Amino acid sequence: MAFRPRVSLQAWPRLAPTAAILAVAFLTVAMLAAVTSLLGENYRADPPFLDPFRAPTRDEAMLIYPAEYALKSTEYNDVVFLGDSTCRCSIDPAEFQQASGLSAYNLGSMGSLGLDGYRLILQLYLRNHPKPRAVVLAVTPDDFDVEIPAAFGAAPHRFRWAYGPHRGGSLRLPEDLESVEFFARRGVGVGLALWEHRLAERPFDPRGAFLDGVNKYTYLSLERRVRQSRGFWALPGKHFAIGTDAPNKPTVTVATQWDPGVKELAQIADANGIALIVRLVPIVNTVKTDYEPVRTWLNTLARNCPHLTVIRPDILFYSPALCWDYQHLNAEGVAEFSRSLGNDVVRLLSREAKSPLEKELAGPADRSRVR
Amino acid sequence: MAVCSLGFLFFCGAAVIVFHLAPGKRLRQVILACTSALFLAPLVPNLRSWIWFAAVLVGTYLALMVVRARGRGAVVAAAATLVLLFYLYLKRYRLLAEIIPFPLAMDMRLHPVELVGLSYMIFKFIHMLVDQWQGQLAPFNLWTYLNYQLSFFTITAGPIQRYNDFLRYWEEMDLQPSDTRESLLLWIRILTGMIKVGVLGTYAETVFHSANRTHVVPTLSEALLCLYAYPVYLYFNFSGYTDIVLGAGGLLGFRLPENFNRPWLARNVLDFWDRWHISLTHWIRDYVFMASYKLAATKFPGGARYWSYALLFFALFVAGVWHGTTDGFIMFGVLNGLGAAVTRAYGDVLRAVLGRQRLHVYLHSPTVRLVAIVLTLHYVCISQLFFATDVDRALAILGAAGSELLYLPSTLSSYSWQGPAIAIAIGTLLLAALWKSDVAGSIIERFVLWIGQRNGWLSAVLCLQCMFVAGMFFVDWAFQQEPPPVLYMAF
Repeated sequence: MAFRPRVSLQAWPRLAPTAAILAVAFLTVAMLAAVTSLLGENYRADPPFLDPFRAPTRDEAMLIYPAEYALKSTEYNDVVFLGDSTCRCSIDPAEFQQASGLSAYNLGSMGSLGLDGYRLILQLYLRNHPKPRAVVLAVTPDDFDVEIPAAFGAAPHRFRWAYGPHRGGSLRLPEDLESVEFFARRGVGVGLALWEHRLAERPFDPRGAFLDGVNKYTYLSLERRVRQSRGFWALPGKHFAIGTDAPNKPTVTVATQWDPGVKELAQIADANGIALIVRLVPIVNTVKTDYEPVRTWLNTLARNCPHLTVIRPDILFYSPALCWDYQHLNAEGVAEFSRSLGNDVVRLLSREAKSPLEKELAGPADRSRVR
Repeated sequence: MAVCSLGFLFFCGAAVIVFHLAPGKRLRQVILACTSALFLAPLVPNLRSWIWFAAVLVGTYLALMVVRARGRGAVVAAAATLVLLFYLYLKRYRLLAEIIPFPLAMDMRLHPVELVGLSYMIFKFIHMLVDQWQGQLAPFNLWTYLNYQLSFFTITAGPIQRYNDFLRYWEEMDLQPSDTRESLLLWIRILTGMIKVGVLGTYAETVFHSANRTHVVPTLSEALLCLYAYPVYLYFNFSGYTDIVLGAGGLLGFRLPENFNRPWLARNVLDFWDRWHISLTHWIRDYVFMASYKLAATKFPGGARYWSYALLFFALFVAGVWHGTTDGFIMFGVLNGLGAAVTRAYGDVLRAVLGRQRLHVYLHSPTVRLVAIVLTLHYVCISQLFFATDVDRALAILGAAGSELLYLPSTLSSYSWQGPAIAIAIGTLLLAALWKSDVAGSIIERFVLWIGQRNGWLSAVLCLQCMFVAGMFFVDWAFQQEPPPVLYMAF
């Protein structure tokens, strides 16, 4: 027997308007989500990573300066440095050049970008600049265990959206529900900003506003300063307020992104005839963490990738007097590290000029270079 | 669940559909009970709160049973006192915590209990207790009692529905024929309420907070903004909530008591309270003022008039203090009590001096009415300033406004007149509208009636409103804004 719903006729005056209301509300939200996510996905400000409706934070600005340099400059550098904040704050290209005679630019960004982000920066750089002689990947040994967040809206995904390859001219659709959520939110902001721009005499320019939480610099003025120091950002004072004590993780394992990511960097470098050098940034010598998994991985990597060189000793330990915090260096530490890196790179490049690049497998790491 | 949210809109819609698809009375009652439970569940934060919740419900129900069995005044008084003490304990009155040598505040901080709608549950309980004692209460059992106390459209912030009314609709369960027009109007009311809370109230609150910069002596314009913006916020927030729950209740066949009746047109404080949070005022009138006045008039018949002033003060003071636990709310209560007592005394004096006929002429004079409305409006705004901030800040704002007004003529000469000219023009228009409020009101009412009689127009308005409200919630979501809270849910 077929099922026949028995809805009393007197209920219809309540049911029909209610169903209509729910339908209108649902359709309105769905339509808004579709329109705003399309707008959010496809509207690109300059720089594309920034939202056109709010001032960027200092971290956002620092995150994209290397990509903007890679995209918009054409100058030649002998060496470029890729990496996280420890790279940006611990390698001074001026000191490096003094020691090595090689021109250099620091493309160090933020650890939150991950290797995918460093690779994009390198690709942008190679597209717009004469090829350098060497690329140095400089990261702290303490963050190898950090997995890159999977959620859309997190820095690496947003960075890939902003600077990664995309179909020019065609309308892009958000990939999944997570990105619909992110782009719908962005789209609402963009929509309101565009509406305000239409009404305002001087549209809001996120590059001209003071950075969120920093009343000293705008995006543009900070960019000028960073460019003047060739991507290097000197940390203020001798030490950070909380000192140089390390969090002392028991051990640092190597997160899944590193092995394929570094191999991909090595392939790009190899395809362009550039030397890829891995130099871990020094860490404070009071640290008690076990870095053996990192060392093992570096050894395996060096064995498996013939076009990649790991500078030894793989982990450098500096005294607290040279450290700003446990993983960033202060001015003295920067000078020391930049000069020693300059010497290392010159040595490697001269050896490379004579023979195929050799591996520097100089035995287990020691603390002999501790000053 | 926040009442002013897209979630509630869908929740309410789903509840209405499921409720009206159910064929019989019993099933509809079960559905309504489940709806209330679903609404309540996210509002009770922890197990401890659930236990207290159950204890309150079971305890108050047992008290009602005892009163039904024994029917003695002493039992009623004991139960009411016990419940009030429990309420004061949970309310965390600062003054009480300082006086009583018991670590009330500390205990509550360590073991927080959130009983949503506790005030309103107690109002309903005392009403049932007294009415049962007086033999006026309709029959009740645990099932009807729980549903009365926990019905989702009254639990969080009222309105205080009387049990007999509830039971009537509970037994009918909207099985009587209804028309589409009524449903459309109820949905329009829900959406209007959401716009009031989400847009108008939120905007007024933003204006108030931007003008009320603490640790800064306010300018005249800031002081005036503080004075007017907060009452506007309070009105839109609470009347918006009331519209939402009245609409939701109506769609499920429950006609709830109105809580607002153009309060800004009140001509004195008593009139104001008869137009603002009406269900609370009527509850206080019935269970605080009338009960105490009867007692006083019986014991001291000679001084009944003076007792009425004192008890009016007391009743409105209680209404004020009920709102909050700080000194600002005590001041709010004092001002309201004072306003009510003076109003009653002034009325008595006028009656004695003018006589019946001249009093009638006086009361119907448009000038007197306008002056009374403007004075009451400002008195209420001043009293609500204490509601909005603490006593010191409120006095600072009023002091700044007073001193600025004193020097206004000299400062006006060096003023840029564009802004004030607009303000004066708007003020004049508002005064004119107030002067002819009957005419303006009737024009608006006729227009609403005209639209209300045409289902096509109603549907179009409803559709636009629904799109606007959905868009409003979408933008809130995009900017990661929490749904605007209903202030009275905190009481």
